[in-house]
Amino acid sequence: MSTHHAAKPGFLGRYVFSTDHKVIGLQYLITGVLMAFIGGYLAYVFRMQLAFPGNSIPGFGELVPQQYNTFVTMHGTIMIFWVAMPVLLAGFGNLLIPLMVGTEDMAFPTLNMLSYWVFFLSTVVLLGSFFVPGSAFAGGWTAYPPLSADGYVGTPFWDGLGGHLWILAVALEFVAFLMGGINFLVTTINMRAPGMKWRRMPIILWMLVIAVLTFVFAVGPLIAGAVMLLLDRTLHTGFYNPAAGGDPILFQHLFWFFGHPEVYVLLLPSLGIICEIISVFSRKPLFGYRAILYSTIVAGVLSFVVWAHHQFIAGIDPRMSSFFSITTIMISIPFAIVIFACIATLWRGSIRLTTPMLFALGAIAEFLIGGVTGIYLGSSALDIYAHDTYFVVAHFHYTLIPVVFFGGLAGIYFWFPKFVGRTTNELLGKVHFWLTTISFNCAFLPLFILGIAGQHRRVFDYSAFPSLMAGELTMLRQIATYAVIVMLAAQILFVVNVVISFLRGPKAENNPWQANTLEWSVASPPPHGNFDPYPAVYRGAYEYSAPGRSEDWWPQDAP
Amino acid sequence: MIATSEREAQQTPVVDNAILAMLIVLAGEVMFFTGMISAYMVSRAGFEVWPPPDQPRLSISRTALNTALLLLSAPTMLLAVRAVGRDRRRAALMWVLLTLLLGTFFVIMQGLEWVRLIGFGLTTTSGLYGAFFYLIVGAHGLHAIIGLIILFTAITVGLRTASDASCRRFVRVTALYWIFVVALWPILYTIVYVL
Repeated sequence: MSTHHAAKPGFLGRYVFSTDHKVIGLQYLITGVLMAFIGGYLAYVFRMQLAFPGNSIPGFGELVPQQYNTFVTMHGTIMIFWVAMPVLLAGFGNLLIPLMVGTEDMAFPTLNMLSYWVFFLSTVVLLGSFFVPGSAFAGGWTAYPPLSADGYVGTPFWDGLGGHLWILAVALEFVAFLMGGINFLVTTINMRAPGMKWRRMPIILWMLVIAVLTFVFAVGPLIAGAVMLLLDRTLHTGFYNPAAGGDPILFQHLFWFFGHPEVYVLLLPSLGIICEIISVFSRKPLFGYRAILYSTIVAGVLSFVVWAHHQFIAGIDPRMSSFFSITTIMISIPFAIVIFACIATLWRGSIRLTTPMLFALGAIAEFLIGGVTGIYLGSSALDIYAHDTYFVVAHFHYTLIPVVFFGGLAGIYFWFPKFVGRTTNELLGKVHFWLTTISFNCAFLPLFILGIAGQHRRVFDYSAFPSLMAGELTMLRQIATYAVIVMLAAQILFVVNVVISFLRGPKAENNPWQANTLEWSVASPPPHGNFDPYPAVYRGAYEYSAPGRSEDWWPQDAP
Repeated sequence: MIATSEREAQQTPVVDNAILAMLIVLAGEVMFFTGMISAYMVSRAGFEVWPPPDQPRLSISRTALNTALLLLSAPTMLLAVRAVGRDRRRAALMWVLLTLLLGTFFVIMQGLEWVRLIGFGLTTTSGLYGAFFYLIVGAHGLHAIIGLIILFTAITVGLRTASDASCRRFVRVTALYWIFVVALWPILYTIVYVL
């Protein structure tokens, strides 16, 4: 029967240069998780410097100002582009899309494999840039000129090699995600199982599709801006050099035209994961499927007209800042709708507090803090004060950590039995959740207070600012730093759990969570080619606790 | 549950996979050029006189001739699509070849124009005018060269594949990309040369 796989590939073909979407998804996921530890280590080092300036840091040594800039830059770069993107978009997208739409693989499997290996190359280039003369790029993850375009002030070419490699790595990565994104869209549009109508798709597929579309339309101007930056650095063109008639603010526009939609490129897949998990563990249909869908589309469109809220103090026209204030506050409405839909799904559900459910609930609760402080910052009047303080740092960590880490971990715990074929330890998982949640709040709540007190970002040592060295502010910085250490240490539990479960965890059933979507109808882990025979779909993904059925779930492919 | 053959019969997408993929790529490309054009428009708005008085002028008429030749390569490509749709591979091959020749001519003429301009002192460092000229026209030139490589592959590989369906698909996807390269040029020509 399985005509679609005659030749059996060898070890290399099966696990390394594999064209199987599940292997590629896991490769992306594992690379992303490993990079998260590098990003976390960098955070540990510079948090130690901020809490105990000038002291030697255990596990690193003494940090010098230039290294501090490098570490802050690379922390941001790695966490956004090499953790959030590969885990949420590429990892889960690859793992889930073909299974959830009910087909054997992506539309272009070879392109998909190429996508991962280009991404891998970009990772090597990025990490390699730490070891070139002058070390890695230190101009901030947003790479604002003139700092990032130091080519034209007469620095020798090789001194800026870290910066060139940074641009090259980001460019390679975007090529990789474009190749992946093409697959995501074509597979979802053209390869759905019979009966899998658009309105029956699990909401996460919608979220992934909208995220990829947003990415495709947003990334062009950034690539244009990055090419111009690279030309400024190498050929001394002066696009961003005021002395040559250029304008550094231009780069900010090109960067944030991509940069803000990018936030939603990360947020949407994560919200999708959360919606799936909350519906399964509330044993209730997802509340307001259409409301969520339309809100997401509106948010995707609006995300293209909010970018200049990153530039309120860059000297843009006040009329323009009012416009961007309004759009920024408007974009919180669709996300409020999605969050309310999640809460309404919980209402009167038979809630099962499993590890993935805890992480999903945690993600929503914590993301609310990030979202609400975002509304404060969206008002240009307040932003003029709060800009570039730790209030902003706390705000975006309260959006990104719930989205990337809580959402990502929820997804990993939820789909681990499916893709590994073994069950994770619930107790370890729950301890991991509580330790992460508590330490996360202890690490970032103090930063709101510090920010309002006037603590500026991107400062190596606050000793020069007596007002910021007040006893209580120093104490808050130290609390935050200790909490970061606990938070990083808590992730060891996750690694232990995953490794032990992989080696000797109890075998997982096909459908351990009694969920409806198609991936749960095949073996754990799904065989090469996924379905045999192909499934047909008879209903939407959220028929839980349907009246008149003995079981409280109703798989999409059950007649 | 359904068998493989039945499944394939049920799966005839509205837009073919490869064409859909190319459309997505082109959506990204359009935004890439939009980004550069906006950057150019914003930057030149900061100058009182554009082009700056001390910079060499671009030759509108020479490039107009070149533009006309490139525009001619769109109908030839469309004729190739029509021919391959009627399974007349020989005719299709001739039309693709003609498109390739016109495209190659365009790229060579552009290259000669660049040499002339550099001789006149218009370089990437002579000012924003030159920088944007080489950026935008260069990006288009790069796309044209990629287009030529695809056209060449269509002749050497695409039109020699055994199955008529995949041959047709190859030519259609090639045409989609080449039409993009051709259609983009008059816009860039107007913005960079004429305005």
